[in-house]
Amino acid sequence: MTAVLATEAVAAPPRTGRPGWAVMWRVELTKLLSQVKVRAALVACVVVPIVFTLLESTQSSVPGDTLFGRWVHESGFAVSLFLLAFTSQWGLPFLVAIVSGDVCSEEDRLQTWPLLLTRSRSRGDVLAGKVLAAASVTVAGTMLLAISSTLSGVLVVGTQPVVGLSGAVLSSGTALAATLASWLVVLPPVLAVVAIAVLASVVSRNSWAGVATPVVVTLGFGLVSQFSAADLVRPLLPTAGFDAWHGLVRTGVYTAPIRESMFVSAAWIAVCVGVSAAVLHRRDVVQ
Amino acid sequence: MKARHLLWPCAAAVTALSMGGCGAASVTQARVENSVAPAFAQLYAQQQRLLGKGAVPGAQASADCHRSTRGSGNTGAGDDWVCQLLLQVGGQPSGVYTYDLNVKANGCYTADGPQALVGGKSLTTPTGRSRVNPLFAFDGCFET
Repeated sequence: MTAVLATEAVAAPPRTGRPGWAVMWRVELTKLLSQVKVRAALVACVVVPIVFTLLESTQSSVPGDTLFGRWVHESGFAVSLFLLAFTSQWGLPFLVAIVSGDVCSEEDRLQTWPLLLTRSRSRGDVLAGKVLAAASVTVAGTMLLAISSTLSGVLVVGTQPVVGLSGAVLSSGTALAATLASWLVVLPPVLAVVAIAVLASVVSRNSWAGVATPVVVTLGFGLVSQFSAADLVRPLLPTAGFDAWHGLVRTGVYTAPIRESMFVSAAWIAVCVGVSAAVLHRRDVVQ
Repeated sequence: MKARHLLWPCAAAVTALSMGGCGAASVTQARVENSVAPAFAQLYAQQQRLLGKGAVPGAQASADCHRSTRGSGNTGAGDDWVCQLLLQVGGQPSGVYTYDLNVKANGCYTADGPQALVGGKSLTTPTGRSRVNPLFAFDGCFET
């Protein structure tokens, strides 16, 4: 019986009618979600905000050197926005690195490229599947972070109004909407960093390089952006998008940086994925 | 990736960086002043509410900001920005407050107030609760 089933499976591969990239997306998603480090990162996205909020509520000092840090005892929305400001610099690049840093180089490490690319899916399908899987898991992690930060803030501290970045007090409803929108606005630059990680992973064929590159590049871009001399370059870097939410949490909302960030991130994604595809297409994988 | 592949992006980055020095600055005196003054006025009204002194409907402020480093041209990021804030309540001048600002290149700043005039880190409401003093120090961002 088993032999018959096995023969059938070989003779007639399941015709789902799904395009190749969609099949690979699902396959790569399964591969990613079965990794301990990826699962640990997703759990951390939920647990870290809860632990931070509980610990912070027991002490009187506040992390005033980060936006909204001085308000974390006054409003739960400030907790969420503080965690957004903090993690967009010190957390999200690590999430991207853990999820996407070796999404392609793992095949080099395990020497599974020949196995993968001699199947009926094209190299483009394989890369598309990997990029989409890495992007989906990273977006899921960011959203878990957003939900966990906002819920722990609201449950532990409360839904009090919060002082926005224009000095005006924002009502609870406005603050909630602005907080959730701010977390969504951070997604384009996060996806751009995913694309950088995939490119590093494809080009270096080395998991360490793939994991380190998105972190080093993000911190490097952040460092360059601190200089006024880089005023012309700053908007062209994907890291500028990590500040785009500043225009939302205030009276007199401005959204031009969000639009810019979407264009810039799309360009980085197009270039990085395009170069990755070109490199992968030319590579002789069957040594 | 071969070294020559990195050449063009690096060259472009260096060119853009050097041009940045001559281009329009993102942090200017007008932007700082136009952001700090209304923020201060609104936070002053908030502080008065917290202290139980009632609403201050007509609180307005004007700012005069400059950098204390010579040759800075009053543009650019730096922790040497100083703002003189003239507070008006109901059209009457109500005090001058000097704030030290650390302005970052992305348009966000931290303003530290004169403790003797605005009070310490926290204040006590008429009901005896301890709250953050909104004027002790405040953060703001402006569009660059």
